Amino acid sequence: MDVASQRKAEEVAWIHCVGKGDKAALRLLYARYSTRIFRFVIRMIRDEAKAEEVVNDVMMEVWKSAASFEGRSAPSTWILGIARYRTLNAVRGKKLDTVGLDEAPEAEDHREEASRAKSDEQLQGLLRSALDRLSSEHREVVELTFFHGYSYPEIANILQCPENTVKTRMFHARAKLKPWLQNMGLSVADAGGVT
Amino acid sequence: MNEQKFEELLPWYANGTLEDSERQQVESWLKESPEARLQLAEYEFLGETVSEVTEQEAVMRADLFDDLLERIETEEHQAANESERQNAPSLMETVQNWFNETFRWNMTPAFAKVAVVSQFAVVMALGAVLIMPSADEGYEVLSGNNTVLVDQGIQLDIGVNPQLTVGEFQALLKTHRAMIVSGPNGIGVYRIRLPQQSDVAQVQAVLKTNENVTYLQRVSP
Repeated sequence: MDVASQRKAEEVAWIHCVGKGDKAALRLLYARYSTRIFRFVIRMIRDEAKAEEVVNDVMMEVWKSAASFEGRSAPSTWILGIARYRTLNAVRGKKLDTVGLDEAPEAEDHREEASRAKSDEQLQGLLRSALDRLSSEHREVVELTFFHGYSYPEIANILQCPENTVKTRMFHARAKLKPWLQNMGLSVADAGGVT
Repeated sequence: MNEQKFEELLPWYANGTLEDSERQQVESWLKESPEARLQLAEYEFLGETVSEVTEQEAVMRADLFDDLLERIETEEHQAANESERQNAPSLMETVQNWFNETFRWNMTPAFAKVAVVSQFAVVMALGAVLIMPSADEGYEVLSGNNTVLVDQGIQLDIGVNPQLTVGEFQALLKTHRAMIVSGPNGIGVYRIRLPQQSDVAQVQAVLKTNENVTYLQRVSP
């Protein structure tokens, strides 16, 4: 059994214990997931207090629903799915710190700004600002892929949407971030191409 | 699989979550295409940027789990109270259970139940009548409800016609400003008191002429 499978089996066992009212098992799950949930939420809503509230809302739901967890999805997918749902609920009355899919700024608007960046560090700072300006739909796909390390079928499961939608959102997110990615100092030659 | 499909899979090749077959196909494509390798480098740079937690980013409180435990305990406590409240028998059920246990009520025939309940109701009603305070405080006297300070007057024993109504008797007493001290006794005689300053002889004379007065005797002082 590989590390990922071992980890999954361990978490499934914890969830079953939580379902029987085992608070020690809940503490283990909390230790493993609370920071990930917090990071996911805070990057979506930029509100520390609200993000902490959502973390506990999610773990409260885990506590209440653990007995009915059937293991059809991985524990991490299940928990992040709850986190995403709770995040959407939390921001229903509060405007997200993102823009709508149709209102997302065009990449060209920032081409000049990106071209002025001298170092990777500067470029990363600009890229983070650009990520903040992505729509929530695009940003969550980027976050779930690169911060949380989910596969696209897992993301589709968390977002409750088709796998192709996940791929399309990532494609568009990359298009929006293109000026910063293009100015990271790489060329086709650096990437192993023929100049 | 065409080039566009490989492009779509690149982010998940970069994060290492593609299945073996997809990974091998993307790798073959990467070997052939420098453009693809540049795109991969961009995704890797994006991944590096996103996965890094900067110093500016907020950090979660360390004692947040304690809040959660407190919340769980509060909800459990509330749920237990609610459940206890829902499971507690109502007053009617308590009475019914007591009857069943004490009198084997559920085995008692219907007519017996009716009889017992009726008797119980009568007893309760009588009890209530006895317990309930009287609308008028103190006692009622035939001379009226007005409180009269009893002075040290002359007392007479008087018997009256049994047909005399209460109102007529009260009127008779009021004529002489008399009030009942006690009675009637076993033979229907009342003891009345006249005011101190009354002319006893005259009162006695008048009362004796009254056809409703059947007996009159001054009480020795």
